[in-house]
Amino acid sequence: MTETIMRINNLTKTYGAKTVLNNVSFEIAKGKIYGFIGENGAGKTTAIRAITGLSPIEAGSIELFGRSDNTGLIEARRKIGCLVEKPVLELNKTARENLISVQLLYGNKDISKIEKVLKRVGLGDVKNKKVGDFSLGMKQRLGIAMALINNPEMLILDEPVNGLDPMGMVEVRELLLSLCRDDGITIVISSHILAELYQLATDYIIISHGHIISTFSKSELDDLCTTHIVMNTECNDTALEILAANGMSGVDNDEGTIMIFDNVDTRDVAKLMHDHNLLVTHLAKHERTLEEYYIELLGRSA
Amino acid sequence: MGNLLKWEMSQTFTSKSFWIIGASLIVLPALMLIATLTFGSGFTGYDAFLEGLNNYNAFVIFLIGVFAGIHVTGAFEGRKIQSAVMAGNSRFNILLAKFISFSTAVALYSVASIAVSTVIGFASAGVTGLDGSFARVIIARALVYTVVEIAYSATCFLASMFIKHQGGAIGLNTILMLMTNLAAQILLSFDWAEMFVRCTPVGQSMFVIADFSNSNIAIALVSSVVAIAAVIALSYVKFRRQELK
Repeated sequence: MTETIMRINNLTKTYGAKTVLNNVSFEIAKGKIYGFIGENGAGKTTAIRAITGLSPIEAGSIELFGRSDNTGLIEARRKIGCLVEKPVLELNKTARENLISVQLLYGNKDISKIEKVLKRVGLGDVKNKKVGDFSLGMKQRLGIAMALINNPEMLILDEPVNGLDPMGMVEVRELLLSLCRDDGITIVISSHILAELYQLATDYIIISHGHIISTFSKSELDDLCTTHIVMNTECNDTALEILAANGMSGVDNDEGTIMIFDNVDTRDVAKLMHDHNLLVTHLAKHERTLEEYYIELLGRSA
Repeated sequence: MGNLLKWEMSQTFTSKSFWIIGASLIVLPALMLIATLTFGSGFTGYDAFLEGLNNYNAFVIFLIGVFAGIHVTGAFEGRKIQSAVMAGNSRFNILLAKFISFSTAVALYSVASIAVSTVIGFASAGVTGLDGSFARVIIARALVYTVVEIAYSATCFLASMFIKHQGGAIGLNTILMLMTNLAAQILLSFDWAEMFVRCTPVGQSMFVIADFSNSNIAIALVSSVVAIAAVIALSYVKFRRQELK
């Protein structure tokens, strides 16, 4: 059974007359990567700031690692590594010195950990370089290194790939995937870049105008995004007959392609055609992207 | 709390502002004292020591607000406070560690500056003119004066908690220090106000130089402790539920 390490219950936050978070509830299970998706001003950063203690909550509750009382929450935050908006870096110090400073804050005296973490994020070769001379991608990776220095069980990253070039995005993505896969670290990552999140996340939380409008896993997303199956065969008329005889409704789109809108698996369709000795030249799921699905969700919730 | 305090002390003592302001608070009063001793006449060593305290107080008014602005408001602007919160520290502990590091810096400035002025004063005019034992009128006075300076400077700590920009905090602190000092001096011209001024750290920053009676020492220490406690309490009220950007 999957262990829930964070529960957000009916979290509400207002700034003046504006309700930024309205009864927001969701859960985070151990060992997964969550994509936290929402438009600008949707409430992503506010929710993250509430979880990390930067923003006091007005109503609702936050439970971290089974603790929801004030003291418990403060203690539980020691198990979380955070990168909110941009890393807190001292530009006139080296990467190593920046990490020593963070280690001091956690009371961690294991200097070898610094070397390990720097290597882990790919900054081992530039550990003695001034951070002011770092590229944006290197600074983001150092920010992740700072979040990792206390061996966190969960990472909360707010827009970690913002402003990165494509290579930088790939580097950060590979790093986060390996942190989850190899170290079992749960990751919550907010981003606007949905194509990037699609390659990274195992689960998604969609927030809009302060409301959670949907939560789903990647496999659920794949099902939700599959609209129909497209198929080309050596004889479409025969194929349509076979489908009809097996309770499926295929439509020939007059361009030599059959579209099947029934909720069936491509494997079943392929087997069916094979059993009737009909050659299938093309068989694929036609899918919407996460972006298309997200826009449709927003349209529905509006 | 121990880790937080070590981190806070490390941040303070490796900052440029700590060293630049510290050097200024030692060198400038010392130079002023040397100038006074060079051009003035008839100073005993004890007079020079008291003059050193006076000179230090004059520079504190201008410089401690700069340090408080950088140390407190700068820590919010540089998101150091936010780092400490996210690292799982209670806001009260963060505030306390910040105040302790600030007070330690002020105490070090005060002790170092007084020590330098004392050496200059006694070296040039000899250990003369003491109106009590060295331990009481020099060492004890320097320590009580340091406590008073911590309490007086704490005003800037509190003000810096309310300002979001470092430059604004420095400006407000400097104005605050000047105005409180000016107000205390004006009030001292009225007999009825003397006791009131005596019960404040700004008043004691002047009184403790001239009056080192047991009763004034007690007033200086009590008023300083009350002022420090009030600064911590008010700062916590502000910081407890503050949105951290």
